[in-house]
Amino acid sequence: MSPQVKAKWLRKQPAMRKVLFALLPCAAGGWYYFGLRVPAMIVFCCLWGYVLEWLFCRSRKEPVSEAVFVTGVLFALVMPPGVGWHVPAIGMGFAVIFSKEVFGGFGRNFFNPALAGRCFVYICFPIALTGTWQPAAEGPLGALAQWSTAIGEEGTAAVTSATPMAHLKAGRLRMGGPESEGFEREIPFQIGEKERVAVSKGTVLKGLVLGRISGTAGVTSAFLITLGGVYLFWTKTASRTIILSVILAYAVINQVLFWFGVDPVPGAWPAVLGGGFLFGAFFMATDPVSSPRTEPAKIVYGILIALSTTVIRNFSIFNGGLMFSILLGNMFAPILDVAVKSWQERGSKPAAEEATA
Amino acid sequence: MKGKAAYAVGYMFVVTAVFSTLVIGVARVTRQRVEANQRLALEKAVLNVFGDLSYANDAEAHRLFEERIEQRPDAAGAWVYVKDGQVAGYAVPIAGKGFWAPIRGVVGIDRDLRTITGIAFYEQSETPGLGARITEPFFRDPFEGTVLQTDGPPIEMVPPGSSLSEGQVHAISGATQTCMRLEELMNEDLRAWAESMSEREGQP
Amino acid sequence: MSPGAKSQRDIMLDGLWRDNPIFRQILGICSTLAVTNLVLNTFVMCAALTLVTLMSCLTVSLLRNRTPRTIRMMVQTLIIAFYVILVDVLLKAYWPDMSRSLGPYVGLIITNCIIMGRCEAFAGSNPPIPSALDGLFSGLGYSFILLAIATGREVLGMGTFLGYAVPYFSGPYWDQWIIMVMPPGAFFMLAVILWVCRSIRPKEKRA
Repeated sequence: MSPQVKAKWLRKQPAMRKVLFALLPCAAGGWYYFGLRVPAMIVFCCLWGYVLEWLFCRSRKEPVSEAVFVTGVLFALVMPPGVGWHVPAIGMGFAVIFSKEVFGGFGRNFFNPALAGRCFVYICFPIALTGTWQPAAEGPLGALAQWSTAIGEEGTAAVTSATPMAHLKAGRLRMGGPESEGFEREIPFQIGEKERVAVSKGTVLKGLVLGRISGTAGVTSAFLITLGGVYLFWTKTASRTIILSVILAYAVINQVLFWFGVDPVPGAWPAVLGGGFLFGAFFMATDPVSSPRTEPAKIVYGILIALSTTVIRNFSIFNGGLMFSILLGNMFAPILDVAVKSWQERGSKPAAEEATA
Repeated sequence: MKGKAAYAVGYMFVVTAVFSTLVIGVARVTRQRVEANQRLALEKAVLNVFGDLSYANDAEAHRLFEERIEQRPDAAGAWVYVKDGQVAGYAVPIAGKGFWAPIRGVVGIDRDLRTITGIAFYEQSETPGLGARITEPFFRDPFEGTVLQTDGPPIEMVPPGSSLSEGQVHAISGATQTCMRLEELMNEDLRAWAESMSEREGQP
Repeated sequence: MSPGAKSQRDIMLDGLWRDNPIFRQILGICSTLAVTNLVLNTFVMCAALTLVTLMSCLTVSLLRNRTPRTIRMMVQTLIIAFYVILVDVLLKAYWPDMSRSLGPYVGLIITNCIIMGRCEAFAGSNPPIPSALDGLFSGLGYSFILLAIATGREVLGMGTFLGYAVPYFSGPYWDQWIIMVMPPGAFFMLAVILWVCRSIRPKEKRA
């Protein structure tokens, strides 16, 4: 890590600053598709996170690290856009206190705080987190001048529905070939429990890339995520090894399962582009604190995440596959490092046959 | 040294004998009660699915069950509610995998073999506050009067808030998994029961 | 017995606070995860455990001079199991609903380390009255922590206390914390309570 400039109120961290820059497109996208409530939530999460961290840092006589803003932005971007304010309040509380400060603050946590916080509220408030979504705004101006796109009074009541990925998994939404007739032009926002809607693969991919679909606040558009992600990749702010190994492994596993006709695996493209997978791969799996330090361990870590995401997304009852997988990956990160180091230490001895990791 | 070991063995033997005897004694004394309790949970569930069988306490529930409910070979495994010498309804047992652990219950069917008179559970360990709400009246009551469908699934659970057609009830929001499994196990057992009932009717 | 015999006041204070089984010894926390989602269940569980601890300590202490040291653990386990089965059978017979919702956890009191710990550490070498007192107060120390956890979990998770709706928490403005009803919720409550109790406790050196 680059030399840190001591400041009274904030520990400046250039790497974290770059991550914040990289998150700008996603945040802007959230505003464009779901209204002003999204940037408001980001600001709220950051301020609340700062206050909480300051309370703990004061007793340790350390300045608050800039990383808390990254946690705040990441956390806000993976919330459903219309979620009640108590959810980010509790989630950020958990993220900062239980997954970071109790371990001794920045640099000593072993779970990604934003994800741990999300995981907590995900289990705590399943209806708010997985059952209520709102449609993305229509038209060229989107929801730039709107508070929220939620249908209902006071701008908070969102509608019970599911994201396109959840519809796909449940079989309510089916993808056909690109040139077939009789498809819906757009992905419908609401699909009844017993309805079957067919759309072309192109429509789904377009929705996932541009992001004009229902989903979490800042993670609907693969294009905007990649914009920020490439910046991180280019400036080497995030580990290139992790990004590549997570994305490639996931694409390969999904495509192979798709070729074998395993239901409901949707194939490499929708899998990688959908459900904020890229967001997790670029911004969350690469968290320098909670991911492994050694290169071989990073590859294994990426494959581990990809594998368990595939399993959880397609064959379990939960939708938050990537979240659980990255947390699992975080859990294994230290031991992967230990394994790699001990393996490298006896590397001089002939141990080629045992290299099965 | 040898004497010590013999003493230890003897001592263990005596202590075990004394405590086991006491435990066995208590268990024997209360065994009937324990068995009655287990049976009572089932009996109450069966009574609860028929609207006109109400009871004030356990003893009355047991008496009512003994008087009004019969197990007949021609009911395909269901309990039969007999009123004035006539069949007034059936209580079909349903069982299967819930979200966490098995769900067991009974569905009351009117003598027309199609209309549900009620539903009750006597064993479930779904998530408290979400799935476990299947035992609450707000979920169970709408089943009463629902008619089993013959084409397609007999019973359908639709998301809360959506409009209902015949043979549909609302699921519990936030407990999608429990409701899906419940729907599946209900439909499976009800369909199997209806089939074996119609087979019986076919051969007089 | 020995010159270092503890006074009754010390025994009580140790069990309740200074040497509390949950937050000092971190014993018996398995049951804190399983049975603390409702206050009523927790209360019955705590009563059962306190009773078993009290009676086991008393019995172990009464038999302490006759029991050969080589088989004392076996005898202790037997005595504990005896009381646990007794409680289990009685619950099944006279309070079937409670027995059903506690499930296998009554039987698992046998493996609760607090009882074994007290029998081995105290009752095995002390006269009956202090031993019984020690068992009782260790049980009470366990109980009040568990009840605190259960209260937090039931109020936050279901908006009720002992089954009665709590104002505000059951109302439309409170989104119930489902995680608190599920086993992981107990981990977090336990952690918070450990944290609070350990910060209250003045730092002192113990041998």
